[in-house]
This record gives sequence, structure tokens and C-alpha cells, in this order.
Amino acid sequence: MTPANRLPPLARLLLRCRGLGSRRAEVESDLLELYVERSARSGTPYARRRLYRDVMSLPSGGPRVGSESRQALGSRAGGRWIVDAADDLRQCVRLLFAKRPRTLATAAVLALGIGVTGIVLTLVEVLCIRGLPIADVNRVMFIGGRDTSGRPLGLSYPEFQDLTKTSLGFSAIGAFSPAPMTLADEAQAPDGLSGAFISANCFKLTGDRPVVGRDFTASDDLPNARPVAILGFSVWITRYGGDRGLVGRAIRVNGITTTLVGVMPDGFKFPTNMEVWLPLGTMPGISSLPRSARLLSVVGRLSTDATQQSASGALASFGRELSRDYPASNRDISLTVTPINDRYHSNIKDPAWIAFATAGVLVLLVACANVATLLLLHASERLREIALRSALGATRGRIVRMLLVEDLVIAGVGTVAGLAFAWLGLRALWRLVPPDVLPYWMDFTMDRLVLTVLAAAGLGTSIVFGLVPAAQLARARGLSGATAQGHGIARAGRWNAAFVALQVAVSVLLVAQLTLGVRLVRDSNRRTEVIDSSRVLTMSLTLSNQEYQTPETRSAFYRSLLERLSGLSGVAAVGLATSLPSNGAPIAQLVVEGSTAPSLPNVWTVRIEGQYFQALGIDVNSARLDERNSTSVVVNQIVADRYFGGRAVGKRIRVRQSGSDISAPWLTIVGIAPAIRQRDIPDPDPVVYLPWNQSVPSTAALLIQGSAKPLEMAPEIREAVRGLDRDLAIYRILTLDQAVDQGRWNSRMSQILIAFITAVTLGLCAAGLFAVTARSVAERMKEMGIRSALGARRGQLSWLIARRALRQVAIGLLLGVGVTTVWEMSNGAAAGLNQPLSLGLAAAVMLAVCCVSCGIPILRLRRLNPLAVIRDE
Amino acid sequence: MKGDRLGEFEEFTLLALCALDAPLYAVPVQRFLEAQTDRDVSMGAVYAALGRLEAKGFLRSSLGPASGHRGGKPKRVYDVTASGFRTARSLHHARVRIWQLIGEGRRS
Repeated sequence: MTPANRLPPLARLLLRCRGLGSRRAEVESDLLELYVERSARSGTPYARRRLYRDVMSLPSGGPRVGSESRQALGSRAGGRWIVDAADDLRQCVRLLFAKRPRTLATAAVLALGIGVTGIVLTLVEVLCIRGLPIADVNRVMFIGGRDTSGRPLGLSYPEFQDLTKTSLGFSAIGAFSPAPMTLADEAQAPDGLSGAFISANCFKLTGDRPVVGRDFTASDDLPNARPVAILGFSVWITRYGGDRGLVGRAIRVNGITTTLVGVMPDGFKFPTNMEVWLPLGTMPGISSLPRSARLLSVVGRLSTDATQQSASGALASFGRELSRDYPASNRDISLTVTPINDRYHSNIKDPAWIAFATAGVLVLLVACANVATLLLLHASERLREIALRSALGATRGRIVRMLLVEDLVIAGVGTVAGLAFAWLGLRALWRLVPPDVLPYWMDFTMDRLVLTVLAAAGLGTSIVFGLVPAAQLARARGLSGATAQGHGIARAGRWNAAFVALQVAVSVLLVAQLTLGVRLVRDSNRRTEVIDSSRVLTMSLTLSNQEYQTPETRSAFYRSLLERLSGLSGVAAVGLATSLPSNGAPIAQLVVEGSTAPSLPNVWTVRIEGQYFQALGIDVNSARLDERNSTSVVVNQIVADRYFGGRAVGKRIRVRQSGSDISAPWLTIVGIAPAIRQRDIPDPDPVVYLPWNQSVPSTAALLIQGSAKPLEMAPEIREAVRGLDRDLAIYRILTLDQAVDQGRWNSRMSQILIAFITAVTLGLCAAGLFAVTARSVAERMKEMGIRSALGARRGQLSWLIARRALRQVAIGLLLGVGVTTVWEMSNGAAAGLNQPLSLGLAAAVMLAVCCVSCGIPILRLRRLNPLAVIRDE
Repeated sequence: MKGDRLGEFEEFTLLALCALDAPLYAVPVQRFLEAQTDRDVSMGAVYAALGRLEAKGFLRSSLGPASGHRGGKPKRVYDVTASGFRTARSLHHARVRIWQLIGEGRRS
């Protein structure tokens, strides 16, 4: 396309939007003629610049004022209103563009509020409301047990089989048991994946079908059935390139040759991030598991005539029957029904979530109040203009509409910017979440409902808060009327002044909490981070059930693994554990010999082997540590202090796994370890380090401390492990630093969110103070002019304004310091820390922010020309 | 609307149309005004002035024939009416009289 025969596409589009009607062709050809001539004479860039200026200079509606199209539109019913509204919009865009700082400040305040609220509401929606993406999810129930202490339990295989023989108000009942899986074949290295053994009807119950191949059948779900597997979509794509011919072929899953029968749809990972599914009946040893081994998660879909209450009643009586029939395993065990979403979601009625959501909504309200203050400020600056329009015949409706159009444009810009801000914030937060920590349906994307609420809040704010000044100004009749209405606006502004004081108080509270939180974390880390994680490499491995069926074979493998790795050059210490520090641990109940406490305390358990403590670089306080055997145990300092007064070595304990009634053996404490944090909470938990040989696990984390950088050792270590078993899946190869960081994503995200909300609140508070002070300056300009003419110095005038702002700040600071002190005293969060330091820091930050935001409008007084002000009035 | 009075730009536009040869349409007027007044003149301003002059009866417009060098598209051509010439001339006379008075040093 050359400039010789057509205008650039954008210019043609703009011309189309100008509403030129029948005259577009002639205007276009005029512009083309000039464009071609200018291109030849001065170059295309110059010609383009002039062309766009010409296009934008065309009178709207046609090249002549009052063109045919405009007149035709204006003559139609309602058309006049459209023409006027279009005029208002055009004028408003020009005005807002001319006053860019003011427009941007108002839009930015709204954007901050909407952004923060968008992030908070999305997190609440994702983590508390969204739910599993399965058909009619509200009728899918989780069926579990509960012991006398109210602890939730799964069901055993015999219990599940008994359940399936009854109806109890469920149209289908399925079960699953998550398990690490190793996927291997001749062509590629093995992969360690999350998987589950599931009953044959589970996918029918969720309403999902494989996209390739078939579902499990009842005959697949029998103990001696031919091994079959279903793969997840992403593994099928990434490992096998989406090969449809794979179905029916053999692969090795957990070391067993298995026929692949199907592939599930993209995004389906039921129940949580699973990639491989095997029939429940083929789970090793399942048919011989006792009734007390409650390893299964059981789900049921309510039949059409049943409700949660009716199913709950039926299950309760079924539970009583089981207790009667099997008293040894089922005494004191009741059966419960909960919606499956409640099982995986945080409870939205939890006070912490309510506080979080309230904080988000409060930020939006603060932003809205500040937007209202800024709109009032804008309105009070336009009293004369409005009075003049009114005097020239503008109706009240027209003036209100004009002001509302302006508010809507600002709100539109603010809302769009706020939503973009929220989107970016959510993306940044999502990067903090380690892979596969949250269930597959919980990604931080904004829900349509949240989007609608935010858009409605943004636009609604402008309408509601814009209507007050618009309606008051529209009543102005003449300049005196405008002044009177201006006083009305000033009265409305007093509420804003009170609100600013409140914002200062809230900001002090938030900043104090933030500084306190940061100091607490730092202090806590200093006190409890005793491990040296900088030189430690970790990797996870899963032994196949086929080759390592017995504890003896597993134990023999681990022994040879430790021997082999210890012999490598540069390796200082090698250990094994069932859980890495800060990565959680199973909970159990502690029985202390001789204790008569009515209820058993909870402890967290980690099974360890080899030089676990040496690999972490810590010294365990015991001379008898090397004597560890299957009846000896190490406890951490918290257990030693809490239950033995610090003198724990030589004492005996029993550790009962939750829900199990098998008598655990007595174990002798042989050492006391420092308090290593297993969970992502500020204070370390009581942890018991159990002997490895008591129950040799099939999945373990390897810890290797060496002289080289951790990840540089990884290839050599991996090869050494593969040398023992080529089908072994090795995964999660990380430095211990990375593993600990991943384990702490939750608290890190919370800290970042608090910091973010605090920063936004500070920004909003500054904007509120600025608006109130600026309006105060604008209102008192005439008074200042007279005072100045009578000899008042600039400093005196500034003090007059500053005094008022400082009064609000002082009230806010006092209120904030008071509330913060009460809050901290009632929570006891700052025990051992210097509270006044956090509080003083918060007050100093607030004072600095307040001084800047008040100072800028006061500086306007320096440019005050008393004669000009008095003459204008 | 200012009745039959002219603003500065309208007067320049009217004079341009009087000075130029046919065909008289917006593009030559814009070129002439830029050249003679030594300022950037937008097409929007030219169209607006032509529209107002036409509304005041100083110009007549009609669609001219399509020409090849404009991609076969038509152009709106203008004629100055007798009233337009009269107004231009009377404005000129008024200015000449005032300048004569300035030259003679008589201010009242």
C-alpha cells in the first residue's frame, strides 16, 4: 500500500469515528492529496504527523458545524440526549487531559483500592470458595471417621467394602489413596510423580472420562487383576509427546509392568495434582490390611432424594453398627459426612479469613472515601464555572450529567488500572507458591464474580460519591449561590477530615504490625535456625513396591545407599529422613512413661537414618547417639523442656500414630536435638525423631553435606543412586536452602501481602491528607490574600493551614498508638521485643508521610499573589 | 454565529478564495493560508471556516467532478458569492481608511 492511493489504516479508522456522514469521501480525498504532497516534500513522518493533526482537528459530526448527521441525530427522540452526552464526554476528556495530575491522582487512589481488594478477594475466593472442578460438586461428600478426641480419620479397606454394600443415600461411593509413583520405560529415565490408587468407579463419580482410551472397570479393581494404569494429560504430553498409540502398550509403574488403558483430560488431576492412577484393588497388601489401618479417603455422590443431613444420619447409625460388630477397631469411631470442598478448602468463617477479607474491603472503603474527598476538592475548584454555566441557561440535569460523566471517566480509568494492578499482583504472588503445593484448581486467577464486584465497586463509588458535589453544585444559582453551595461542600468535607484522622490511626497500626512482624521473624530465625542449610543437597526418592515389598529389602537398599554415598569424595555426611526441615511432618500422640495427663499431647514425627544431624551441621546433645537402634529415639529441645524439664535422656516414651490403636513400643530417649522447625510457623513444634528401622518407609529424602557447592554434587550423587537401581525415581533435587524456602512460601507470602497492604494504606492516607489540605488551601485563598495584603508573612499563613492538618495527624497518631498498644498487649505478640521501637518507627514513618502530603499543597501559598486573589473575588 | 461579521481566520479564508484560481476547494485554500500567514493551518480549521462562510452566504459549494489524481474521489468546490466579494471589499476599505488616518497622525 503506497501513500499515493490510500490513507494509513489508523487515519481511515479515525475518520470513520468522526461521524462525517456523506462527506467522508470528499474529506478523505482532500486529506490524501495533502498527505501525498507533504510526503513528497518533507518526508512521510512529517506527513503522518500533520495528517493525524488534521484528522483530530475536524469538527466532530462533519466538516461543518451542525452537519447533517448531527442534525439528523438530534432530531430523533432521545438523539438530542446522545449528542449532548457525546459533547459532555468530549469536553470531559479534554478537561481531564488538561488537568492530568489531578485526574491521575484520583484514578490512582481508586486503582490502589481496587487492586488490593482484587488481590485479597481473589485469594479468599481461590482458597475458600472456588471448589473442585467436578460436575455438581456440592453433592459430592467426603466420608470419614472421627475418634473421641475429634481427630478426623480416613476409612480402612474393609470399612470401604462394607460401605459399598449399603446404599445410605449415596448413588456411588469411591475411594482413593495417594501414593508416590515411579513411571519408567525403556526409552527414558524414570520420573517420580504424584499418583493415587483409586476405586474403579471414582471417575464416574466425579463425572469425568478419559480423553483417550477407557476408564477402569470393575474387573481391573480386583487384587489379582492384570496391572493397568491411567495417565494424566500433562505427563502424556510431556513424556510421550501425546502419542495416541501409547494406549494398550506396557510401561513400568512402581517397577511393575503395567498396561496403559487411558489418558484423562487436560487439567484433570483429581483429587489433588495426581498424574497417574492405578486401581485400588492392585494396591500392594490392601486386601490384608486390618480394619484399624485407615488409609483410604472415601467420597460419595448423594443420590437425588438424599441430603447431607439424611446421609449423615444414615452413616452415623452405620458407624454404630460397625462399632458393635468390630469393637477392637471401631469402638469410639464415628462416621462423618462433609462436602468435599470443605475438606480441601480453608473455612471462610475462620476469624483469620474474615479479618483478611475485611482488611481488603476496608482498603477499598478508604480508597473510596479518598476518591470522594478528591472529587469534592475538584468540585469546590469549579464553583465559578458551574455558576456561569447555570447563568447561561444550563439546566440542573445537564450540569449533574456533565459532572457525572467526568466522574465516570475517572472511575473507568481507575477501575481498569486497578484490575491490571490486581492481575500483576496475583501473578507475582503465584510465583511465590512452589509447584504442586496447592491443589490443581487453586490458581491465582481472578474469578468473574470478583471481577464484576470490583468493577461495580469502582464505578458505583464514582456515581455515589460524585453525585453529592454534583447535586450541590447544580443547585448553585449565580455566584452567591455557588458560594453558599461551596459552604455545603465544605461541611461535607469535615467528615473527610475526621476520616483522615482515622486513616492515620489505621496506618500506624499496620506499620507497627509490619515492623513488629519483620523483627519477630528475624528474631525467631536467629533463635531457632540452628541448621547450616547452605552446603546441603537434598533429593527425594521412592522405592517401587514390587522390588522392595518387605521392610528388610528396603532397609538393605538404604544401607547400601548410605555406604555408597559416604564413600564418594567430597561428601562429608549423608542422612535420610521422611520429611525435610520446614516441609511439614506427620502428627502423632505422645505417651510419657509415668504421666497421668488425661489427654495425650501432639508431637510431630520424623524418621531419620544415617548422619541426619551431621548433614544439617548440628550437634545432638547425647553421648549415646551412636547407640541408636529400633527402640531408641531423639527428641527436640521443645519436647525435652515441655515434658521432661530439660532432663529427657534415658526417659521412655511411646509415639502413637493418629487413629491407630496398635500399641506402639516403648522407646528410650538417647539424645536431644535443637529445635529445628518442621512447620512454617514462628515457634518450633515438639518433634520426635523416630528410628528408621521401626517402620522403613518407601519414600525418603536424602540429605548430603559436601565440600563442593550442593548442586554441583547432584549429577555424581544421582549416578551413584542409579547405579544401585536404574528404575529408581529421583526427584525434587534442591539445595536445602531452596527446600526450606519452598516450605516457607506461606509465611513469606503473608509478609509480602501485609507489607503491600501497609504500603497501599500509607499511600491512600497520604492522598487523603493531601486532598483535605489542598481543599483547605483552595477554600481559604481569599482569606489568605487579605491576610497577606494586611501584612501577614508567608510562614504565618502556612502555619494557619498546617495547624489544621497537624491537628488531624496528631489525633490520628494518638489514636493509632493507643490502638496498637492495646492490640499488642492483648495479643502478647511482642513478648521479648522492644515494643516502643516498633511503635516509634511506625509513628515516625507516618509523620514523614503526613508532612510531605500536607507540605505540597501548603507550598502553593508561596506563589500567592494577594492582589490577584482579591481582584478575582 | 456573528451574523455577517467575520473573524480573522474567516476573513483570511474568504480572501484566499478571492485570490486563488479555480478549482477552489479546501486543499489549495489550506496551502495558500499556510504560505501567506506563515503558520500551521489545520484542515479542521479550514473546513470550519468554509462552513461558517457558507452559512453566512459568502460562499456557495457544490460537488465537483471526480479526478484521477485523487483516486477518483470527488471534491467540494466553492464559489465566492457577490455578497462575499462585497464584504471582503468593504473590510479592505475600512482597513485602508484606518491606515490612512494612522499615516496622517489623526486619531479621532
